[in-house]
Amino acid sequence: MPTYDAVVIGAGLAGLSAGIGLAEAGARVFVAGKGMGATHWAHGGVDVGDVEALSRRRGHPYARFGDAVGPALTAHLARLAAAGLPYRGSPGDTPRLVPTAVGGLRPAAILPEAQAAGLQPWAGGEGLLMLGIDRFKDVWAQMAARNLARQRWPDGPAEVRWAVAELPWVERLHNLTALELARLFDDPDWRARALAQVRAALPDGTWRIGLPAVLGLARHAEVFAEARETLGAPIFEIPSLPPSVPGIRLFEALRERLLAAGGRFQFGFGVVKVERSADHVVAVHTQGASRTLRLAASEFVLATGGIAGGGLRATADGMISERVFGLAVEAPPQAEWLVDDPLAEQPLESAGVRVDARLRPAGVRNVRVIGSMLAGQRYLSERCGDGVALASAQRAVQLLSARSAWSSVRNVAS
Amino acid sequence: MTPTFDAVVIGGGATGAGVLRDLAMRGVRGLLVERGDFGSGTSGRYHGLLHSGARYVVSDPGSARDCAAENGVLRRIAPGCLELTGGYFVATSADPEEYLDGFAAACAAAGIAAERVPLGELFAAEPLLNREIRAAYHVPDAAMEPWELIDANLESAREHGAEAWRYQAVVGFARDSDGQISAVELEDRRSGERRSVGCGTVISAAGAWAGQVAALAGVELKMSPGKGSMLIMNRRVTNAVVNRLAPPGDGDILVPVHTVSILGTTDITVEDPDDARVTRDEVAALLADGDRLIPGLSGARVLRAYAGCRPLYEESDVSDEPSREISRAHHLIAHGPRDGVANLWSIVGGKLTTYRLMAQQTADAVCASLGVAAGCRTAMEPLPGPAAARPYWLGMRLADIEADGGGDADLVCECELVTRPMLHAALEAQPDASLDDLRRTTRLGMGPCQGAFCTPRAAAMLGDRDDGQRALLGFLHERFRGTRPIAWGDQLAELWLETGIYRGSLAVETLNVETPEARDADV
Amino acid sequence: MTFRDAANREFPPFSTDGCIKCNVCNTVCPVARVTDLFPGPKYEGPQGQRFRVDGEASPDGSVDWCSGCGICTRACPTGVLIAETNNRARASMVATRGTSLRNRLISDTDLLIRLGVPIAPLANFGLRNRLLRWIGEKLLGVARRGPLHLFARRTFTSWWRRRPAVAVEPSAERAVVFFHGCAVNGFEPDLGRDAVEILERNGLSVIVPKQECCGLPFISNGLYDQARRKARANLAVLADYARRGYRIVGTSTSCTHALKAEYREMLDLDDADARAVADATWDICELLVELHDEGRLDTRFGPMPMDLPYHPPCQLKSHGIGTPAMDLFALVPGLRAVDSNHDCCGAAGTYGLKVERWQIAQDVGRGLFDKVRASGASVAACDSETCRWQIESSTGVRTRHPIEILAESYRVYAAG
Repeated sequence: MPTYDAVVIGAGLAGLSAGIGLAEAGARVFVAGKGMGATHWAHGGVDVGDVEALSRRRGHPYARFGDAVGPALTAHLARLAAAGLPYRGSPGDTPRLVPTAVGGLRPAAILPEAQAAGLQPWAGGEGLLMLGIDRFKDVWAQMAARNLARQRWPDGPAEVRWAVAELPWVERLHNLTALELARLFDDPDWRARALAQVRAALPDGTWRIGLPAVLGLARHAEVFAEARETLGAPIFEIPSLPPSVPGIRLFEALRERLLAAGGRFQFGFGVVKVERSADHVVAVHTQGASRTLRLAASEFVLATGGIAGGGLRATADGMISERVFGLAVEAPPQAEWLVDDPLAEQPLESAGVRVDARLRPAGVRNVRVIGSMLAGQRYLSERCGDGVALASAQRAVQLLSARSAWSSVRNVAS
Repeated sequence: MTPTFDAVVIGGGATGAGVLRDLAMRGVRGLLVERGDFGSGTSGRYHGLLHSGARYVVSDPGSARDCAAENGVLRRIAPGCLELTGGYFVATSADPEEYLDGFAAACAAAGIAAERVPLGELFAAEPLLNREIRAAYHVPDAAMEPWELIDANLESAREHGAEAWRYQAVVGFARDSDGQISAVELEDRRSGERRSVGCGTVISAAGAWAGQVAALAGVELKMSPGKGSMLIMNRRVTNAVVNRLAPPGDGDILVPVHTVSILGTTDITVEDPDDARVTRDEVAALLADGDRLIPGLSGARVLRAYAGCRPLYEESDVSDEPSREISRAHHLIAHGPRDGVANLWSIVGGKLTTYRLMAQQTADAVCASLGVAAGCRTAMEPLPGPAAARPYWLGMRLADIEADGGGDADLVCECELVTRPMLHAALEAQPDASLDDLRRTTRLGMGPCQGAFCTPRAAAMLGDRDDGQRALLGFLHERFRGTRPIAWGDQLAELWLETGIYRGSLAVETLNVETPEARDADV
Repeated sequence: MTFRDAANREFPPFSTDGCIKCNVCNTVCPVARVTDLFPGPKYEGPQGQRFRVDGEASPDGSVDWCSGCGICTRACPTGVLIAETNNRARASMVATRGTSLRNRLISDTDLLIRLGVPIAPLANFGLRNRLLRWIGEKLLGVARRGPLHLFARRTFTSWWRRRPAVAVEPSAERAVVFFHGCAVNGFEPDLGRDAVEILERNGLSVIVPKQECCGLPFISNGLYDQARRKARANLAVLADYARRGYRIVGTSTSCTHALKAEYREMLDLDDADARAVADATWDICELLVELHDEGRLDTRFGPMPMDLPYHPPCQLKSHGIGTPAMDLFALVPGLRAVDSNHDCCGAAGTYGLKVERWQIAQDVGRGLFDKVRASGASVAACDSETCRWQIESSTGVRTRHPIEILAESYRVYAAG
């Protein structure tokens, strides 16, 4: 194995973005993911939160690099647009409300183009039609419409209704998830029949149509354009339970970009061993079928995520450990991890690793911590997770690029 | 118009349902009222073990004999509620020598078929058991499904003319001039409506809550609710029930129930039987003891913690004994001679295994007082419905789905393989069911994700029966309560994924209606 | 089941404790991607496992549609050994209900080679004859268009035996044990000769002890008893070398993965012998990269100016060794190797040979075949034999082992 300029551990939004940034800066970079994860679970939008307010909050990651959110986001959206996955919204946009699959209202500023038509404001007389798909268990049009009709929703739709469309084949399928539907939509023939059936299910009126996020995977742009045209109305995808089709599109776009930029990518094996020399990490080893794979580098970027992503692991005795380097984790005491209400802010959300201005944890000089591993953010309550991931990734790329001209010593054969 | 019944049974657990059935089969027209869902109290929160009796052979030989006899009866009348796993009593190095010495003889005396098992055979059958186990007996323990058992008893009772109402809390009694109860005052727990039901006689089968019921009649009945906490392991760690060969203590039984194993139980006397919070100390104690049976068990995934309150009754009505020392035997209290309320009875104590015997003895006494001569037939006549079917086996649901062509399209709860048709059928039988009620009928949300994926799917199926939020939020709260005490490791990661979905993508917290069910839902 | 700690996550059925139901595995499954017959790895793996009883047939017959590619296991963010759990479920079904003659036959590659090689001209006529293949499909269920390689006229071992014997066995530092596998022995002996040449060129003598099929085809078909017999026979020979410090090297990433992982994960062979062999086993490209890292690889490669579509096979990815062939290709002047970035070719060992699965295998590999064809290259490369044969038969593009490309490059250099 060659010595890399940087090894990125973790393949979520933060890890892939850092890998891409480093590769684009000319670094030899290896991205090692234990598996796939967070992108496949999330809604596909970009949540950055209130950057200005959070940047002023002591201990919040934005206090370190809030200024990087704008540029990082701009670069990210440009990359995605180039990959055929355009997003709407810009840094600094005020969040607006968008309906969710259960009929909640989620504040969002930056959304995939296919979700953007769900945003406020609604024109006078414009109604919202929640569209279900017969037999598809992860769309709940009636329930959502009922809840949305009750929402206090400034500049919302004049009326909320729901309808269910039957799609060709679907009654015959043994397996039916968002994934199967998205793949069916990729097929032009099926798609044409399906969209005709959807159109037939629409009631009269002026609607924006909210439908499940299943409008194609590989050929999403084509599917979305055709759906909008055939249905003759603004349409928007509403993400539901994982697997998130918008998230998969995002992941694939980033993975392609990483490979195209010359980055190496391996998933399937977590880091099981770390070689150190004083306060430096020399190499990490990923698990292998029998022996480990040694990845030596001058810099390491830790992007393994938080508790859901597996970067942090809690044990019964209330200890929370960082699983790659064993870094110190900042967290509330166990008795205070969770409050009674499962839907309220949970103190445990803020758990993570504390870093210095150069994203370094205490005691290790060539490890940068990025993404939801960073302490002090409450990524759900503050809806800042994507902003932290992108900005910390970009900051890490800047810091590493400034330090080194990527003149890494390549192995020279005798 | 006040409806009138010969007998009103209070409490929709196994005992109440058993009493209702027994009375109905003898021609006594009864009504059962339950303040929550049937089987939502102690019966629905036990460990799932049909005792062979061996657990009590030393401490309480009378109970042991009752268990042994009833074990045989239930195999006959309710095979479909059972999984005939068999059970082992195993002596670990920490268990007292004397107990082991006396065990076989005590079993023989109680009529329990306990057979010494060579250790090689034991470890071949249960490879995860601690290799330091030094002796083992096989006994006819089994796993039992309480909700099906209760449903079957109620169904049988209904066939014989009885009625059973749920979500009806008893809030008072009307008394006539000689102190007898003339009517039971009920409050619908969901609508808040009150109604009155006339009654000939009243039987309190309210278990741990019997003291509260008695108090409504001005009678003092000192219950000593013994909270037993249990842990649900993510998978079956043993094929058979495993008990420690020692006087009953914490963490000493492990029962394979459906897809999971249940590790139980602690025993803590509590004031309020509704206090079912599981503490971290209890969790730690259970796991430490569990590790003695199954090395590494504490590192395996725990899905949930829950507690039930044993309906323990202190005969002497004095309370300094620790609850494990209080007899597990049952007591039928005639409040006529004791308290001057001639038509009130309380049946307290006992175990789920002996529910039918308790019901029989209660019905015998009540019938004698009513002048009904008919005898008990519940031990002979099999229960109706699925209870009469062949014994449960683990692969049943998966095999059924495969037989229908397989696939996940109709799976609402993927962990426990609950399909859309199963939920439709359950909803047809109980159109006003909450998701938690559906859970008790179908196992909805009882697997690893604890409702993360099935909650909105099932809630949406309620359609016009629900307001769109109550079922969803109620079930989320209910499932969370059982996750909280064991929120670490895998289950915390699961909870975090769930939280990300519900707050991150679905913004469920922005649904803005008050949910009484969310507050009241049982753990 | 041998005794295991209840929390041992290396034991596939217990690893299901990690499942958080997130569906990532379903998103990457190449089989579920193309057929509605397979409900996907989550349903069969961590979900189905909850309903399985030790020693009984798994109730979900649909698990048999799993091709065993292992991508689900690698994609799982929480470490569930999904494919391994499914494979064991298939084996429990085969153990209790039996399996077809076809599956028994195509799994027994040692037998096929013993029968086929001595009559190679005749056997190959049969393999090439459309009528006979059609009959084979109807009678046995072996897909008439399935990627079967022609028998060699002479096995690798018979060639090896005629090489001058070495009087003294070389020391472990200067020699390796070559695990040739069935592909080299009965179908592609030239690859074996190239491997020997390359190893020797880099200062490593080659030892070829008596060996049998690694057993992987039996494992894939759920025939664990037969697989264990093969495994034990191999371990009996190889463990001794492993303990004496010899590295065991193979060209087939499938065989070497069986030695490294599957004996333990599927067959429950977890003794000192199995551990020693697993630790000593190397994929040949992995070893060459190691030599390179140590500065001991002869890098005098001759120029091979061409585009080379390279498909890292699923079995290689399961090794967790990156893509060593790509590192080696980078040493060859002019060679522009491009990673296919495609999940699976579909062949999955014997999967693509089965008439009822042939189309699935084709659909799984379609994106790869399109890329290979679109590249316009005359040669492609891949490390596992059945994948090579699948790519070649589906695209018409000659598909070679990376070692053959490297050997060629060395020859170009030697020719000046």
